[in-house]
Amino acid sequence: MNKKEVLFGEIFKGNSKKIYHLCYGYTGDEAAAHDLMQETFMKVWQNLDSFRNQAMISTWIYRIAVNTCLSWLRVEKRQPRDPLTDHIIENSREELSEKNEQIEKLYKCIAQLEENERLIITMVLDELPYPEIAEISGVSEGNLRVKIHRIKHKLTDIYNRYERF
Amino acid sequence: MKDFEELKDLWSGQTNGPKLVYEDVLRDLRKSKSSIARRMLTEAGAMLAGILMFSWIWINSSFMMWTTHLSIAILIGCCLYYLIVQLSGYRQFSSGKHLLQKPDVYISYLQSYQQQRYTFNTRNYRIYSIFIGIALALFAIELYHISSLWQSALGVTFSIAWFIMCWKWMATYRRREQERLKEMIAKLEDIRKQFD
Repeated sequence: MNKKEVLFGEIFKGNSKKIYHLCYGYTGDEAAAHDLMQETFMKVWQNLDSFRNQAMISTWIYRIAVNTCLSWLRVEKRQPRDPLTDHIIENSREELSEKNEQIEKLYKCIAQLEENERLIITMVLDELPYPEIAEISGVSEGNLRVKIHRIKHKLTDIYNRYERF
Repeated sequence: MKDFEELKDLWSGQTNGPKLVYEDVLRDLRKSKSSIARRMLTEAGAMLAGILMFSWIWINSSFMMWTTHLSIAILIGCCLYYLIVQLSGYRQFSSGKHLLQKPDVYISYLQSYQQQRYTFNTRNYRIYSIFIGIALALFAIELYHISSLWQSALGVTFSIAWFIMCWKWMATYRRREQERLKEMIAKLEDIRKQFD
């Protein structure tokens, strides 16, 4: 295994889970999340040499992941939002444990948000520092704080609305 | 009722993670790279074969009319054009540098890329077909002089039928692509606004 592969392995291990969560939050679909994550890391590999000396490699990877997610709809007609129907909730109750069910429901609620809101909130949930989220999303820090405040409320409202069912 | 902090706890407690390991990514990367390279090589090879074949015919045959020379030159030009466009398309496709830009810039790039592809697949294809048509028509002049009437008629009928078929197929494709493009551009525009 050469040096580049070793470095790539370390980067993958350190970032894959968060990138997967970002992709899952964006698509609301496990298989699509895997595809997007794989595409992201393929681009990371292709551009690794140009980014070897940069300090914040995770910011760079997130940027690639965000753009890969945004271009997802380009490939074919897709509808990322999967409305939380009673049927889905019913099935979830049967198949999943309570906690997994809540997590599944959370993902479905995230899928109800606008595209940029989905991406931003998954980064907030993964506890990325605000300056880093601002750098990744290209939104100014002041504007971002306002957006995050609004998205938090929106997500909590959606979640509690569905929990009442 | 849950507040945001509880949702955050729920999120951080999730155990699900990617089922991929980096070896899978590297393996698929090699596979996709080689399949792209293979496709590229096949298309480039076919076009090169076309160029070589037309060149060979041009050098080794004695044509009576200048129109035939022009016809072959046009055909070679068309093959070269297709070859260059395909190669630059693959180069653009395989480079990921646009992905490093800010999302709003990246979305603008996607919009213009989609527009470019549409233009290439419609307007440029139309021009390309017109040139092929001119080349065939020029060749038909010599064909008319060296072949019998029914052979010439057969050649012309076949060419016209082929053109009508391609034209109809392209019209359907254009209509479908136009609808898809409009929808996609509108969606991208909507997303771009979200990042303002």
